[in-house]
Amino acid sequence: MEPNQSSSLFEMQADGLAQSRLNSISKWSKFIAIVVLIMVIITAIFLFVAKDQIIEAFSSMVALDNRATGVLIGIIVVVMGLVIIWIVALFRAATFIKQGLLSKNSDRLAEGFKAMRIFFVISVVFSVLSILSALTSMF
Amino acid sequence: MEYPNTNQSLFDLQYNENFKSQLRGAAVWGGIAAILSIGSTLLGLIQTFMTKNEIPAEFRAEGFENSTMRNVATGGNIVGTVISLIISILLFYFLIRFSSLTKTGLNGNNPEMVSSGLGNLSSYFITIGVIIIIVLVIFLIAIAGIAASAGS
Repeated sequence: MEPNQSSSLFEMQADGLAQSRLNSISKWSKFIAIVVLIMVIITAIFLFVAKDQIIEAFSSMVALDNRATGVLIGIIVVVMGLVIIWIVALFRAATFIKQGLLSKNSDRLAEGFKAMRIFFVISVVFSVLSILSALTSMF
Repeated sequence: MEYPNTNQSLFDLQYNENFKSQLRGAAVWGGIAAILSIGSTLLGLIQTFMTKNEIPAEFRAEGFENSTMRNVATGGNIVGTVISLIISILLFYFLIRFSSLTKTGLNGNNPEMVSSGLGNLSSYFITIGVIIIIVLVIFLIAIAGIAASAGS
């Protein structure tokens, strides 16, 4: 008599513990995404409202002409855009993982981890920028 | 008579090839992010110790150049860097374990190892979430303190 095999050698199943861990990943990453998004929106509003005072404060520390001011604003906009893509990727990951768990759909979970990969790629970009900035100020 | 295979419960979730491929991609990039992130923190630490005798420009502009001010500024910098180093080491540990356990588990078709990897990713996000909560509480206490002192 042949043993009843529940799955082939090449198939893997998520047990209850793995599903509970996926649920925890989804819950906490959604919390982080929402809180950081709120903080980014508040910062953007603050920067917009107090832009004249901020430019004035910068001008007192370093000489800023119109071109330098434009570059400064450009850098802030690019960084904010990256942060928003970063947070949206995390939020999408959390949402797709939750949907995949509820519907037992591996393709949805795969979408979640695809978004998680984008989140890690942007984290790598931020780390590289931080390393370059530290090296520039050291040498 | 053959009965349908009933070993697979309704609550089981199969990892298909698409899922495994995307999870592997996330694990690879998570590992790279972990290494670069700890590298960035270590560079920050070196930078702090290299510039520990310099007083920040904003303090010099206010006329604070004595040794007490220097000690306060340096002490604050070092405490901040040490706290961020401890947090970074913790996050690095969870993320690198997620990366290595998940990749090994997927390569060896070992669901327990993949589950352990996911457990480490879960711990990574829980740590960040708890740090955010602590920072928000400190921020709210500071705001309440400022409001109370302004009111009195």
